[in-house]
Amino acid sequence: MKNLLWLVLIPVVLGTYACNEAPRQEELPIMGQPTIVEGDTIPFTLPAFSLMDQDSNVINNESLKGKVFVSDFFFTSCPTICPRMKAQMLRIQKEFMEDDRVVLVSHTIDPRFDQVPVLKVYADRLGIESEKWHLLTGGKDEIYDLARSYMITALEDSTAPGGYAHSGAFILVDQEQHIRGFYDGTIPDDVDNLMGDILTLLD
Amino acid sequence: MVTFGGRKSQPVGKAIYDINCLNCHQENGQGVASLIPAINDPQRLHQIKENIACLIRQGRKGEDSLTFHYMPAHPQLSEVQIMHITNYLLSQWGQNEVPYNIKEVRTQLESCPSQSRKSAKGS
Repeated sequence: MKNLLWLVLIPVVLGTYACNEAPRQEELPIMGQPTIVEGDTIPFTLPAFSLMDQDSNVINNESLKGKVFVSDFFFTSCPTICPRMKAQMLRIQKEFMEDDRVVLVSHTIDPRFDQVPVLKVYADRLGIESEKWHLLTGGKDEIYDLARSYMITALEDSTAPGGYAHSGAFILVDQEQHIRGFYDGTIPDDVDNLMGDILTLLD
Repeated sequence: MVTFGGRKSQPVGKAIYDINCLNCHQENGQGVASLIPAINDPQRLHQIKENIACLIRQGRKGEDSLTFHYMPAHPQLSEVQIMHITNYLLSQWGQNEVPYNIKEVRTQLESCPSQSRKSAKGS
């Protein structure tokens, strides 16, 4: 969680970049390191990824294009914060159940164990709606690289309960796959903020 | 003098619950969907009361091969702490349950089914 603190500073820096555009009320910052190409500032965008969900559907940048989505990282045998995060994700699923512009994606950081059949059972027990909430598995390196792109902690750690350490962040991603916000997925009030920001992005 | 739990257990029990149980069973004991069982149900509490101390200390193996379907052991909790959690649960969500005293908790813990037999059963 500590390294999330400095991320708070990024929107402050980015705020100066965003000045080129017309200011809008309640605009959410675009987070991450922008690249500058021939004098143009290109905002940070999620890198290419291709993973598989609990129904063996391929989920990639293309399939999520145009969607507002909430990302998090977990593993099914996690004995610590995951159940709390999942209880909060269930709230978001319920809130946006009827709105197919919004989806949820949860990446396992234990893909060796969390293969499709395991994710399927986990999804069923949680009451996950297949089209709405994708539990993603795939190559370990790809998932860990993606976590780094999301600027969050995810690592194998034999001293952590369950063998993995990871952030409890929910990350809000917009229709162009820019990161627009970080929230603490274990705190209901912060998840309320997230749901408000989803509405801002849909507006 | 930690002889009897009862009402005295509540604030202490809640504090220990918050640290050790809340992540899974949630603030109001409702669990998470059918992934994590609710423990705010008087009937269920009554059913597990007889071996609740063992359940907390040893955890429970899943009924299938999926490792997420289990309750972790809590070897770090002392007999007194287990008593406080138990009495917190019973007072919070039980129906007219008599709280445990430390002797009863100790007796229960001494007669827990052995770990090895449990894991053999679960696999």
